[in-house]
Amino acid sequence: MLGKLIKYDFKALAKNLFPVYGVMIGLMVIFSLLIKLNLEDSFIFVISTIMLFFLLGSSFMITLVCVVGRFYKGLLKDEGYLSFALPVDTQTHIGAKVINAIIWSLMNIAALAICLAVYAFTVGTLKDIAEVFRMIFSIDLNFYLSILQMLLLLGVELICGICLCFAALSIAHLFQKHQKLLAALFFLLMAIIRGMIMPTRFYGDFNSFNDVLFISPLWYVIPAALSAVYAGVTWYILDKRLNLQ
Amino acid sequence: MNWKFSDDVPIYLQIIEGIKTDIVSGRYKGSDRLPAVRELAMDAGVNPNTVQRAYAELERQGLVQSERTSGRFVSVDEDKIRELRKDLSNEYIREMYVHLRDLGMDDKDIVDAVKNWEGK
Amino acid sequence: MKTLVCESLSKDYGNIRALDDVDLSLEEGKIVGLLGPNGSGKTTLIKLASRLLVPSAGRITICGEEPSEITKAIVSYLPDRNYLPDWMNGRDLLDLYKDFFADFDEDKAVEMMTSLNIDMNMPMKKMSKGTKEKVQLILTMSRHAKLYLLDEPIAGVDPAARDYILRTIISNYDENATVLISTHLIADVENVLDEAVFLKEGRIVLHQGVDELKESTGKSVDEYFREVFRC
Repeated sequence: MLGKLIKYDFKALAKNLFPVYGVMIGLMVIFSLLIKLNLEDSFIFVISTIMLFFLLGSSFMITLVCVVGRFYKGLLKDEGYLSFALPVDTQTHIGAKVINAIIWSLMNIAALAICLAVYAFTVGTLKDIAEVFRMIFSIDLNFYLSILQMLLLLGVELICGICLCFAALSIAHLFQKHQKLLAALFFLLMAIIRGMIMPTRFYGDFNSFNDVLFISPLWYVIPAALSAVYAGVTWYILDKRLNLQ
Repeated sequence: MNWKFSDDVPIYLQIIEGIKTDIVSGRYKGSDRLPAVRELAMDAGVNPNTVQRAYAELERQGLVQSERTSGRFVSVDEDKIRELRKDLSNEYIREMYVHLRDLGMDDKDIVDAVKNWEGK
Repeated sequence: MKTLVCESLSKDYGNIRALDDVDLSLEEGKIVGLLGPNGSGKTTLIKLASRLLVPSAGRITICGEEPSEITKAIVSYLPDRNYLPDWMNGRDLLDLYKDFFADFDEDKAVEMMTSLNIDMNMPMKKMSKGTKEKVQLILTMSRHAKLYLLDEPIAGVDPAARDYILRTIISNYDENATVLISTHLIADVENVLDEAVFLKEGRIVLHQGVDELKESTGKSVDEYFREVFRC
C-alpha cells in the first residue's frame, strides 16, 4: 500500500513540479546558447537570466511548498475524505508523504545537475571539462568525506524540516479557524524551540581541504529525534483527533 | 408498467395489487413470466426486498409459482381470475361506498347514481 | 449477521455533544434511511463508521471489527462533498480504486460511466458539479462492499438526477450488504428504504421497518417525520 500511495502522490506532484524543472532547464539552455553565441547584450538574455537565477535560487523552496501543500490538500482538506477512506493506516500515509518529500528533493537536485551539465557542455570546451575532472580527482579523499557528511546533515535537516511542517499543519488542524495562519505560527514557534536545543558549534575545525570535517553526532541525533517527535505528533492528530470539515 | 405509489400504504401491498390488476385485466396471462426482482425494483424505483416480499405474498396466495432456475410465473386459471376480479372489484366498490356515504348519499342514491353515471 | 453495531456511542466536539449514547444495530441485506434535520448527527455517525472520527465514548463496530484499515476495505463511503482529486480524470480514478480496493468492479464502473457518456480523459476540475457527483456515486456503488455509507447522496440534485442516483443504488448494491443513506429529504427516498432511523439532536428516536411504520401509523415516513420533528 505504501508504494501505491507514493505512486499517486508522485503523480500529483509531477503535474506541478515537472513543468517548473522543465522551464528551469529550458531557460538554462537559452542562457548557455546566448553566451555561446556572444549575445549577452540582447534583451532576451537579460530577461531569461533573471528568470533563470530566480528559479535556480528558489527551486528548492518551490519543491518544499508543493510537497507540504500536497500533505495539506491530500490529508486535511476535501481530498482527505478519500485518503482516509482507503484501507491504509495512518503511519503509512505519513511515511508516504515523507518519502515523497525525499524523492522530490532528489528530483530537484537532479534537475539542478542537468542545468549544470547543460551549461558545462554548451559553454565549456572539451578541454575545460577535462580540466575540471582532473581537478576533481586530484583533491584529497578527506574533502569528499567532509562533503558527504554535509550532505547527510542536509538530508537529516530536510526531513526534520518537512516533519516540522507536517506537525505544524496538523496542530493547526485542531482549531476551527485561521488554520494556515496558526500553522505558520506553530512552525515559527517550533523552529525557535529547535534553535534553542541545537548546539551552536561544530566542535571541529575545517581549515584545510585535507582535514576531515568533524561534525558533532548531536547535529544528526537531535534533528533525527525531533523528526520522530514531529512525526509522532502528526500521527496522533491524524489518527485520533482528525476532524475534516 | 408505469408504477405510481401512494405514500401511506406499504409499497409491497401496492405492488401486489398492481400485479393482481395486471392478471385480471389479462396483461399477464397464465404461465407468463414475471420480471426478476431487481428488474422490477429498478423499473418501479423501489427496494428489491420490497419486491421480494410482494412476490412471496403472491406465491403464498397461489397466484405465482416460482421455478428454481427459470424465475417466477403467473399461475392462474379462469376460476382463479374470476375470483380475483371479484375480490378487487369488491374492494373498489367498498371504497366508493365509503366516499359516497361521506357525501350523505344512502345506498339507493348510490345505485341510482352509478346507473345514471354520465361518464360511462 | 450484523453489519453495523453502535453501543452507547457518543461523540463530542469540544463541549458540543453531536451524538449522544446511540445504540443501533443494522442487519445485512437492508437499505436503511438515516433521517434527521441538519445538525442532528447524521454525518457524525457516518464519519465514525468510516473512521474519519474517533468516538468520545462507547463503541462502533463493522462486521465485528472496530473501524480501521480492515473495515475500510469492506466499507464503501460516499461523502457529502466533492472529495476526488481535481487533477485526476476518469481513467486515473478507475486505476486508483482498482489499486486500493480489492472489491472494486472496474467493468461495472466503466459500463456505467460509458452509459452516461462520461469522457474518461476529462479531469475532474473540468466536469460539471452534476457529472462529478455521478462519477463519485458510480465509483462508490461499483465496489462489492459489506456496508455502503451514503451521506446526503440526493441533496441539491434535480429530480431526474435523483431518480438516476436511487436507481443506481438499488440496482448495484451487493445483496448481502447494508446500505445506509443519510438524508433530510425523506419523501424522495422512502420508497427504497427497508428501515428508517430517526436522529434528533444526536439521539435515535425511532428505528423501525418502513412497512410496519406505515401499517401502524397509516402515514408515510415523510408525514410521520414531520410530526416527530415539528418545531
